[in-house]
Parts: sequence; structure tokens; C-alpha cells
Amino acid sequence: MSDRSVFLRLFRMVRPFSWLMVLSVLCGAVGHLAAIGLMGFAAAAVVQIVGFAGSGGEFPYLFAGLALCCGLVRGFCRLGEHYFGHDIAFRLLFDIRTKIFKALSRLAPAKLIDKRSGDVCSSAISDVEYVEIFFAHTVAPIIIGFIVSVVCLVVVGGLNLWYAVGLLPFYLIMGVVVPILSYKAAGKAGYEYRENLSAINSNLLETLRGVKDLILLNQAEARFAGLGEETQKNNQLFAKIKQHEGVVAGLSEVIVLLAVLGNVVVSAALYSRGGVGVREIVISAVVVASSFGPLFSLMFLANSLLNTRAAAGRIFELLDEVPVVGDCAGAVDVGAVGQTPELCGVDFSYPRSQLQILEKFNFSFTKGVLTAISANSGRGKSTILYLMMRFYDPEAGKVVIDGEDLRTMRLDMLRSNISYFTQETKLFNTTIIENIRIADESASDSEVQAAAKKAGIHDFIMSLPQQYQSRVSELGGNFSSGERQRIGLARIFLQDNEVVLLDEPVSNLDSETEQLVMNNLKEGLAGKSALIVSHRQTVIDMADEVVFI
Amino acid sequence: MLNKKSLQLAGEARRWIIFSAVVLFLKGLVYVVQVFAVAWILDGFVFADIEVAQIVIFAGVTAGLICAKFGLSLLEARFSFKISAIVKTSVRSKIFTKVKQLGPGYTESSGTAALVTNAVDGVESMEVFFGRFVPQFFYSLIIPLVLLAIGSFINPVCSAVLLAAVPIIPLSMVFISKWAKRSMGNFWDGYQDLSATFLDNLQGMVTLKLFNKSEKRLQEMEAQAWGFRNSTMNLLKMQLTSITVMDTLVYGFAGLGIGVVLLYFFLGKISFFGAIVLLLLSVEFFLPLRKLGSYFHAGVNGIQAGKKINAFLETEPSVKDCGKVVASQGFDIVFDNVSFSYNREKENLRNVNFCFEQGKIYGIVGESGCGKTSLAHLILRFFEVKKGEIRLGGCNIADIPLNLLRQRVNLVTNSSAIFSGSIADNLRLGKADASSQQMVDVCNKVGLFHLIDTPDGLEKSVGEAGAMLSGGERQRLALARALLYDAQVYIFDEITGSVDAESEKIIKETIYSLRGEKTVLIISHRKAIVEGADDIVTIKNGEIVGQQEVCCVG
Repeated sequence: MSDRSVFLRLFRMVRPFSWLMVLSVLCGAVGHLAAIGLMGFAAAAVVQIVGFAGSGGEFPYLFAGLALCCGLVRGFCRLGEHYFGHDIAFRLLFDIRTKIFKALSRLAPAKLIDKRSGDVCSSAISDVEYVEIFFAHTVAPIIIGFIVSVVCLVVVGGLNLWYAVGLLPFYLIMGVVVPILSYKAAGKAGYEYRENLSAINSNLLETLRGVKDLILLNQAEARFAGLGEETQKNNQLFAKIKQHEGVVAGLSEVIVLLAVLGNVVVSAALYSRGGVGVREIVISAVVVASSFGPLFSLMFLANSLLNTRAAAGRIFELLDEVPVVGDCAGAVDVGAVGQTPELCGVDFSYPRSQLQILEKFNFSFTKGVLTAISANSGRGKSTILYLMMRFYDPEAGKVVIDGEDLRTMRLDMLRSNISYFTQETKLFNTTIIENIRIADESASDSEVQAAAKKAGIHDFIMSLPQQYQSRVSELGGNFSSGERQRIGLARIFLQDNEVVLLDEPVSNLDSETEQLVMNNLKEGLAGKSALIVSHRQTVIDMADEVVFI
Repeated sequence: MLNKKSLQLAGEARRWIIFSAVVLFLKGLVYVVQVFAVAWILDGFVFADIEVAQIVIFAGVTAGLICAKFGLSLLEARFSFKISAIVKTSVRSKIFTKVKQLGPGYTESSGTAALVTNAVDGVESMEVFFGRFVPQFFYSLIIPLVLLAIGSFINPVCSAVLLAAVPIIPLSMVFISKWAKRSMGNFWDGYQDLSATFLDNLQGMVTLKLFNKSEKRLQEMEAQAWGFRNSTMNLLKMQLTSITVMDTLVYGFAGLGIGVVLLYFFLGKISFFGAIVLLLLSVEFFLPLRKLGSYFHAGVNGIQAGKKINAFLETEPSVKDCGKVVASQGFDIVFDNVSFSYNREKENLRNVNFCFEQGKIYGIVGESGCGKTSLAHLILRFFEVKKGEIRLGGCNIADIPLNLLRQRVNLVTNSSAIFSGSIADNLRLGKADASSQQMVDVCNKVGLFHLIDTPDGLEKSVGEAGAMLSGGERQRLALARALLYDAQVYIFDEITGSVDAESEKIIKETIYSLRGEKTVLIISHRKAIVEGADDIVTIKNGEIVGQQEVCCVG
């Protein structure tokens, strides 16, 4: 995608909130104008008094009153700007997150089944934040700067056209040329700096989390020193950015002073020709001197554009990705299925992979016969299960259940009919009981406990201070992979489907628990269509039938 | 608001913070000069026929101001960089030093979450706090007084009225700070909760799909988000209104001050020049404090982070490094009447007497929570014994320097960390100068040859925290690393607790191949792995209840 289309698309994304954006920008612009107006009207009052000097004219109530009003308006505008700004940020974050969630929901499981899925998720989090910052802190200030500048030009132009002509170039330099130059000079360094920074931070995280082992290996000092060096190196970039920041900030100050000087020169030239009087001179001087505020905030805005561009690019790529499977036209709700899934003459290789995993592959098993698949790593054991769950579609041949091609069935129906136990069990950050109940929301507490008992995790849960109400987050890393796995198994027991596919169900369990769980599985799966993938001999031995691949 | 202790965290950067405040102050003075120059030139327009000479002088002054401002901006950026860089380096190195001093006992009992918050977010808050907030704070205190002094030359009453409004800002900030601590705290917590839920759900997407819960989860997220939004916006409405009242007061006072200036000018008590100067200066009375207000969040964050970091830095280590080198002989480990407890509630080990002889393999079994792991923690001195002593080679371990002790004794657990980088990077943690041949050999030994039998070889990346390896492979890599480390005593704590059968077999073989060479302690609640040990020790409720030569074990 080109830069232009990425940014255009970004703007289209916020169209639903454009009215909020308008309100927030208006408040911001009026607020700035009020601050300038405060000075301008006060100056006008001074001039009016000067006009009457000595002749005992009336106090300039109008201008003094207007100045006071401007002061009051300023406060309320700040309220509005913040209020609407928060609202936009909020809606925007939520909206983009929803979009990403939906996109991933379409793309899962295929997209997320491999081990890099963590990267996809964590980069989505920070990418969304970049986009939010872009709108809340980049786009709004640009528009506000533009509006305020135009109004000021109109005001000084109204005093005398030449004032506007003299002021315009300074606005253009300050609002357009400086940001672009700044971006050209430091955009890349800024991008690099921020990328390095996040790399250093994740390195730091890893170091602290693994600090015990580093100390045990007497490597903590070396690792800390390494981090220090990386930080130092990145600091050189930071120094460059800061130096550049200093130059740009200095330059901006210079521009303001030159604008003030320019204004005086214009005034002098016009004054000598009698083109302007005291009123125009004083008011224009005050307005020019105090009108650069909103443009000041534009100086460095462009510097994070590269990061925003990269973040938005990643988001759009995700939103645009076509899922490898989806509901086909005319997919039907088949109700309950009871028979075993079957692979008929299947060819399969993973997307973007040359390796042919399955070729003219047939596989079936019998209902009521606990079947185990045994094979060495990499021979496509898990792939068979993926195909049965329709994570992927075969390139040739078909996968059927109850004689129907999976592609004719609705995906949600397929998934609610087949229990599938994955190698990694994901625990959500809620209570343990909620984590098990995800398999069947209508299950009673005692049903959940019965499932946990079968999975050999009940006693462990009861030993926790909060028992089933313990939140997963509070236990944090205290869940071993074996405990996670058993909670995963409890889900399967609770779901109690007619078709059950298990991928390495006891790989993280010790031999005693394994014994218990396998016995319960065998009992629970009696009479059902059950398929187990494992390379544990003890598991294979317990199956009624073993298929070697 | 600024206490001495948090300021001390700045260390070397204190100098630069002062410089920074001075630069801000000089910038303020430059602005004053600029105001005088503008008023002077306008005065020229109004009361005298302006002369070319006057404009030339004005241009000259402007040129001087330009140079001053440009230079000051450069200095400001330079100082702000210095502060950031120094604060980041010095606070982090303080934290690192402390982490090392506290040892694994600290993370073992308190976890790493607080540590991570301090070292990452905490340090970032400190950077902004010292780089922006503190200099601005000092500047904001001084500049109104200076402006008052300058304004007094023109008219004391007018400047006094202007200055009368100034205290309102700190007052309003105290008010805001109370609110900020409470509701902004709540706001950010809620905000981060939302992010955490989002991440949690993304990571669990496969599970959600399998249980057909993704739609429902999205609705829940939506409900949570809107609930949060509505309560936040209501709170915001209320609180922003209070802030607006303050703001209005401030600007109202500015307006009032300007009104007084106008009145005085109207009455002929001040000159046109004086009126313009006061008018333009009135802004500068308020701006510094306003700007301080905009850094306020950084201020609150920084103060809180500083408190937390200081509290961490003051944590007393549970073990002290004696630092002296003593002569020890051999590697027998003797527990001499050792008692230990993590806290007062429960005694984890009671009067343990035992001798682990050099070169033998011991199995230590017992139910979870019986004190097996405490044994390992004590030998490595994560914690101090409460009673008795532990001797390594005849020498009380409390007298052996920690580095040396940990060189001789190594511990591998089921949660041993793997770091992102290559396989070689991880192995080199065990032996920094390991040759590739050594690394290949050790990989072969633990059955990881298939991993390095690729074009990348030893440079194959293992992903973040070893995410691209299976659980069993991670465990074997940790074992390989420990072997390269070449300790004399190895303690393996539940290292086959969550690995597949194939890994379990290899790990077992590897461990037992150390017989005769190293002293090995295998801690497990499973009998299977300790079959084959020279001696099996059973622990129950913190006491050794059984010891049997393995030949007798079924």
C-alpha cells in the first residue's frame, strides 16, 4: 500500500466520529482564539484610551468587556476540548480494537495456530495506540493550527491587507516548512529510536523475568551491562534527535521574532505613507506576537509519522487478510453429528509452504473405538486434526462427517459438535470456574467440579485460597503447564461431545496424574468417536486401536 | 510535593536539572526584553514620529534576541537529553544492583511483576519527571516573583493585582492533584484493564473459536468498554467542570488585572509604554504555571514511581554476601540440624540432618509443599537458614562468596528461563567462551541435534522466551546450558514435571550420566525419575522421614 492510500484509509476509519472530531477541534480553535482575543481586545481598549488621551473620553467598556469574555470562554473551551478529545480517543481505540478482533476472529485458528501468534497480538496492541495518538495528538492540532492561523490572517488583513501578506509566509514556514524539514531530518532517526527502544524494553522484560537463572549462572552482571550498552547506543540516536529538536525549537522562536520584526517593518512602511494609524499598529503587533501558539505544537508532529505509517500498514494488512476457510455459500446447520470425521484422498500443504504434508491421504476411525495416532514429529499428526476441525481446507480430496463434506456445514455448528483439545491450553484472565465453564455455559457448579475431578485438577483448585473463584491473573505464572493442561481437559470433560479429538492431552502431566486422566478419558469416551494424537507410549498403549503414520 | 528522597534518585542529573531550570529562567528574561522592545517601538509609533534609526535599533535588539533564544533552545534540548540519559542509566543501574544483591530469593517470594513495573514504566516516568516537571516546577516558583519585581517599576498596584491571581493556580493544582491521584488513577487502571482484556482475548482467539465464544466475548468487551466509557465520561464531566472553574478564575483574574491596567492607563497613572509592557507580561505571569499543569500527570506519575522505586531500593536482602574466600575441600553437602521457614506461619524445614556425598546421585521425594524445594533454595542461599548450618566441602556456605557458591552449585527447575536469541546465545549463558564443537556436543547429549541440524545451525532462533521450542525442548536446552556451566553440584527441581515422554527419557539419561562425576540432587514428587538414584530421601512436613538405598526400591 502506498503512503497516501494508507493515510487516506486511516481518515476513512474515523469518519463515524467526525462530528466529535469537529467539536473537539472547534473547542480547541476557539480556545486559542480566545487567548489571542484577550490580548487583542485589551490592546484595542488601550488604543481607544490613547485616542482620548487628555480629552477625557469614556472608558472603553466594550473592548475591556470583550477581553474579559475571552478569558471566560477560554476556560470552557478547554473543558470541551478535553471532554470530546477523551471521547474520541475512547471510541477510536474501541472501534479499531473491535475491527482487529473481528479480523482475527475470521482468520483464527489458522492464523494463530503457529507459535508466532503472540507477536501478532502484542503488535496489534501497540499499533492501535499509535493510530489513536495520530488522531488525538496529530490530526487535531494540525486542524486547530490551520483554523487559528486563518482567522488571525483575516483579522490582521482586515486592519490592512499588507499585514496579512507580511504574516502569511511566517505561518507557512512555521506550520508547513519546519515540520516537513524536521520530519526529513529526524523522522528516520526517530523511527529507529522508537523501534530500538521497544526492542530494548522487551529485552529488559525478559532479563528481569529470567533474573533468577541469570544469577544462578553468574550472568546477571554481563546481561545488565549488555542492556546498558544497548541503551547507550540508542542514546546516541536520542542525542541526535534531541539536538535536532533544539534546532527546530530555536528556529521556531526565531520565526516568531522575525514575524514580530516583519510586522513592525510593515507598520513603519504603511505608517510613513499614512496607510495605518495607531489602532492598526498596536492591535496587529499584539495579535502577531501571540498567534503562534498553536503552530508551535506542530513542529515535531511529523516525526512519529513513520511509526504511525508502519502501525497502520500492519493493521490494514491484518484487516485485509483473506481467511483460509470461511462459511461457504449455502452452508447449513446440520444439527448434531454423531459419526466420525473422515479424510478421503486428501492432499495438503500449509499456505506459503512447499512441503507436501499429506498426499492422497485416507484416514478414518470407528465410533466407540478409542483410536490413537502415533508418528514422529513433523509427520502431520496435528494436521489431521486441523483438517477435521476445518482450520484449513484440503487442496484435493475432502473431509467428511456423517457423509457430508465439512464445507457444506456451518463452521460454528461443526465446532460446537466436535470437542478439540489443543496442545497449548489458554487460560483467560477470569476465575477458574469461568475458565472451565467456557466449554458449557449452562453447566452447574457441581458439573464443573465433576469435570475438574475427572481432569485431576479439583484437589489443586481446592488448595487455592479462593478455590474455584481464584482469578487466573492473581496466580500468574504459578500455573504450571501441567495445571493448565488439566484445566483444558476439564473443559473437554464438561463439553461432553460425541466427537472428541485430543492433541497430546497428557504431554505435560506426570505419570500418576496421567494414569488418572487417561482412565477417566477412557471411561468418559466410551461409545464416542474419540481420536488421540500422542507420542507417549503409555497413552498409545491405552488406546483400543493404534494407527501409525 | 517534591521530597528529598525522590530528588536523590536523579543522582548525577541534579546538576543538569538545575541548569535546565536556569535556561528556562533565562528564556523568561529574554521574553521580558522582547516585551520591552515591542512596547518601546509601539510607543515610538504612537507618540513620536517613528524614525528609521528606531526601527534599526529594534531590528538589532531582535537579532540579539534571536541569537539568545536559539542558543537557549539548543541548551534546553541538550540538558533535557542529559537528564533523560543519566536518569535512565543511573536509576536502572541502581535497580539492577539491587536485584543482584537481593538474589533469586526476592523474585522467588515476590515475583517479577513489581520489578518489571519499576524498571520499565517507573524509569520512564522518572525521565519525564526529572526532565520536564522538576525544572518547570522551580522555574514556575521563581518567575512570577521576578515579573512582579519588574512590573513594580512600572506600577506596583497593577502588578500586585496580576500576581494576586498566581496563587490560584497552585491551589487549583493541589485540587487537581487530589483528583488526579484518585480518578486519573482509576481511569488509567480501567484503561489498562481494557487493553489487557483485549490482549487476553486475542491470545485466546483459537480457544474462543473452538468453543464458539468469540461473538459473545466481543459483546462482553463492548459492554465493558461502554460501561467504562460512560462512567469515565461522567466523572470527567464533573471533574472537568471543577477544573474549568479554576481556569475561569485564573483567566478572569488575568482579565481583571488587564482591566486594572486599562483603568490606570485611563486615569493617566501609567504610560502607554507601561500599559503595553504590563499587558504583554500578564500572559507570562500565568504561562509557566499553566505549562507546569500540563506536565502534571507526569509529575504525579513521577512522584509515585519514585516512591515505589525508593521502597524497592530500600528492601533488605535476605542473605548477605560475605565476600571472603575460604578454603573448602570436596563437594559434600552437609545439613547440620537445619531449620527454616519462609514466614512465621509454618516451619518449612525442621532439624534436618543429612550428608549428600560427592559424586552420588540423590532423589528427594515428597508431596508438594513438604519442603523439598526449600532444601534447594537453602543450598543456593536464596534464603538464610533459621537454625543450624549447611556446609559445602566442610565450609559453612554462609562464608562462601555467593558468586563462588553459585559457580559450584547449579539449579535447573521446570521454569528455567530461555531467552530470545539463538540456541548458541542461550548455551553461552552457561559458558561464555564455549566453542561450537562443545555446543554441538552438548546439544547431541540432550537430544537437541534435530534443532541445530538446519542451515542456521546453532544460530537458529528460539523465539521470545523460547516460544518456538516445545516445552520438552526448552527444558532440554536449559539442561544443556547447565551442563556447559560445569558446576560440581547439580540440583534438578521437577525438571520433568511438564515434558513429553521422549524428553523425559533423554533428560533422565543425561542426569544419570553424571554419576560419579558430580553430586546430583533430583527433586521430584514422582518416583519414576528418581529410580536409579544412589539414595532416595523422603521428606514429609519439613522432616526427613525416610532414606533408602535404591537397591531396595521396588
